[in-house]
Amino acid sequence: MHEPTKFAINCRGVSKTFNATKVLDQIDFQLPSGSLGALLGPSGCGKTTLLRLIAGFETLDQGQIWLGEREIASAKTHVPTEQRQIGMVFQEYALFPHLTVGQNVGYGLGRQARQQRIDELLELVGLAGLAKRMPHELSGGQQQRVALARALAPNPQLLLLDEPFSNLDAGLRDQVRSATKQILRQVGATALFVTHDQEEALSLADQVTVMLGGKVMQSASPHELYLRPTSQAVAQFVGEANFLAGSARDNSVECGLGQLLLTKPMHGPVTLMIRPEALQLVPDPTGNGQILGQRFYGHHQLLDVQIGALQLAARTGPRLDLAPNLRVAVSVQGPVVAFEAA
Amino acid sequence: MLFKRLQLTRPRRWPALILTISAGLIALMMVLPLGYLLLRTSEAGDAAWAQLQRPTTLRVFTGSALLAITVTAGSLLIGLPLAWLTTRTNLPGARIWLGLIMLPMAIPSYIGAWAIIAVLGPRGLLQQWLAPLGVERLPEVYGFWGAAGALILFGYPYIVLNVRVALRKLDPALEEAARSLGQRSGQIFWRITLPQLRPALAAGSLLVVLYALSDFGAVSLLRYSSFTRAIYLQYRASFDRTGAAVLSLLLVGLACGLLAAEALSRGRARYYRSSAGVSRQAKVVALGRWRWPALIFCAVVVLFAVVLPIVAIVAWLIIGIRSGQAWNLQLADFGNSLLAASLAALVTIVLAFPVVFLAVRYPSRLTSLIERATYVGYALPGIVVALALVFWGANYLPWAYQTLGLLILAYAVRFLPQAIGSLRTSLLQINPRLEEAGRSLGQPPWRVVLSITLPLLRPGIVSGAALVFLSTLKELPATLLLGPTGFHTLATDIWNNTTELRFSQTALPALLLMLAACGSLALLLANERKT
Repeated sequence: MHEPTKFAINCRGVSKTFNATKVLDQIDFQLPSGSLGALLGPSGCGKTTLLRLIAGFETLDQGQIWLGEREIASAKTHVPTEQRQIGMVFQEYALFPHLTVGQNVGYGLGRQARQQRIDELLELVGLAGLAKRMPHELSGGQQQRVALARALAPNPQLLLLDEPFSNLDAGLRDQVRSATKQILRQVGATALFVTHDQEEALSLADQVTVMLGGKVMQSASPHELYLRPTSQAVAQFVGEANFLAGSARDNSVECGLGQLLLTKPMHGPVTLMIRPEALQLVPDPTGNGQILGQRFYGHHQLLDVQIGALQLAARTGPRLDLAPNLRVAVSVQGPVVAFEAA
Repeated sequence: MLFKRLQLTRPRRWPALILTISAGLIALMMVLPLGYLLLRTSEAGDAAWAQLQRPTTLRVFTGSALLAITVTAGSLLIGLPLAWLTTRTNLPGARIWLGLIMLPMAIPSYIGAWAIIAVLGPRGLLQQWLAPLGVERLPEVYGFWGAAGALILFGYPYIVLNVRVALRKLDPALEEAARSLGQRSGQIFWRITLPQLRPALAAGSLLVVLYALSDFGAVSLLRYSSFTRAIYLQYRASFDRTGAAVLSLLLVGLACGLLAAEALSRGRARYYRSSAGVSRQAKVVALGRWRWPALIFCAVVVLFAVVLPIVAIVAWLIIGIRSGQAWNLQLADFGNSLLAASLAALVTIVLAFPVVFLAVRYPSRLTSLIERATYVGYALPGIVVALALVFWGANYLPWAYQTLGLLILAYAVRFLPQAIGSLRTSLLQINPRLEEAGRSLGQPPWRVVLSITLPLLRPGIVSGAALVFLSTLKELPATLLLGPTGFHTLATDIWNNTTELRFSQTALPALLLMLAACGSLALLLANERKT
């Protein structure tokens, strides 16, 4: 069988069962060359299993996986991990504790020009001069960078990262994330990382794939995923959302907030999804809504607003003119996404 | 079915399959001797029944049971106070006492028995010293009380070890609660502390019972016909080995029965701390004027358990040097001991590898079955393993019978669980992600094992090897029964010289054996401290 080859990784109908539990169910997944992809989902959704299947640590039951033009896994074939040219950064980093930083980075390299490549990579991740240290002598952030350098050293076709930032302090995490992204861009690597943190997925990746219950729900750019989710489950998992019933006709919908514009034409009863920040509040004694509660976070605030029988969450920047019990005029900015009513 | 699951869930089938097959073969090898013993007995049929019904069989059974009960009671009486004194009181020099008290664990029982005979026996030191004073006879050391006394001196450390751990884990809040409810110290000990110690006392007692039943050296030298000595005499006395096989199986049955009874009696009560978090250290009990009786108690125990063997060695060594007999020891015997122990350590570690890898990296019902099968040798008394291998070797491996190879195999069967235990602990600490990382960096599995797993396993390998080395050095029954003709080790030297009452020629081998044992023990402890 032949597949088009514009993808770095291409999974078709991949299924995997562990002890009678279907962990992956007919997964179709592609990642374009040179891009940074995220597999996003709650724990137990199968995202780590998919990563381990691509790495070759597990065998699949059905389906096929191509790495570039090469079929690396199917029900019949299983290219062993060490022949796949895939780099892997583990959640716990898995640095070899008995080897120095330099030896760790050089582990996957041939004898030729090894030292030069080690120096090059340590330079790249900003750890030049630490080659003689032992892994336990490094901070968490430094260990993460050694793991990255080690995985990149043999020039893998694809880099896999399993929850690469979850072991870092919150303060350090942001900094390491952007440094990692910059390094990956610099070497032009194709990389796929697994995360349960939607902010991490949205802020880092070019393509975010949401997995729920062993299935791929949607694969799209961060903007599209957030603003145009294709299912209520994805809308709910990625960010906060208000859901309300409505009746659609072509490009408009009739609901508790009046008549709104739809992102695409639909007909009949629908469920509308409105992000809290799409609700605009203006103080107005004759407005259609009333503020019930307020949670102030500094850079933004969340407000519970009663509109008729509806209770919705709205998000605004920090403002002095909004307070509980105030009457406000509520309007919706931009077109809204609608799903077929369940 | 099990094979199929193993294959399906694992990326590469061949390593797992090869591992399974080799580990399975090793497990089979461990179980084979026992199986042969069973087969042999069942084939004997009527002869086996006849042996079972002989009055001596009953006598041996009751004698062994009586010995085991006495040794356990004695060990509890000595071990429980010692554990409490060294853990919960302000006993002066508690740490030093503790070290001295635990020392008998490093001394083989036959050296202890020899020391008792050589100091307190009919031609012993005490007799010689007291003769000028007109003392003609000392109380008999041979027989029940001698054997029981010797075994108690080697059994009580098991109680101390278990009870100390339990005492330290005990939540002081329980005792404080009892105090707040108006109970006095004595009542608290009997109603709160002791019931909480019950699991530790049971576990320690079980170890002592099994030790008393399986010990060969002390009971034989002190001439008490419990199972192990009766088996040995039966085997030596007659060409028909059915009698020895029947007695062996009876002994195994008794041991298994005890293990099962212990498992059943563990009961429903749960013993754990009621509060979360790290337990506070219990308050230290001030002994006050009771510290003198306490010190005397400790001193008496140490006198018999530690000072006696040392006095025996030193005194008889001096006597031997004066009479020129001390150096009759062939240096070759010392070499033999070291050679056998080194080979046993090497072989056992190599055999442990596939079993441990399979059990830890590919856990399934089949692999845990394989692992458990390798523990058979542990549960069996040494004399039984030795005897089973004698039968088996003589019938199926005549070319290997009476060779060093079969002796090493016997050591491996007996001590494989020790090696497996050490390796297992080490391998469990090695994250499998490290091996996956190695593979993802382009190295084939065998290279990953050599460059990552093995170097990280080194502490486990060293302590496993040191443990097997130490155990082999001290081993007696298998060495006696399976050693090639003319193959003498320190252990057999001590045995032969003691049975022929050549005490002065026993001192040097005993000294060398204790030094070698202390050396490997020191290696073991140093290695543990490093990790």
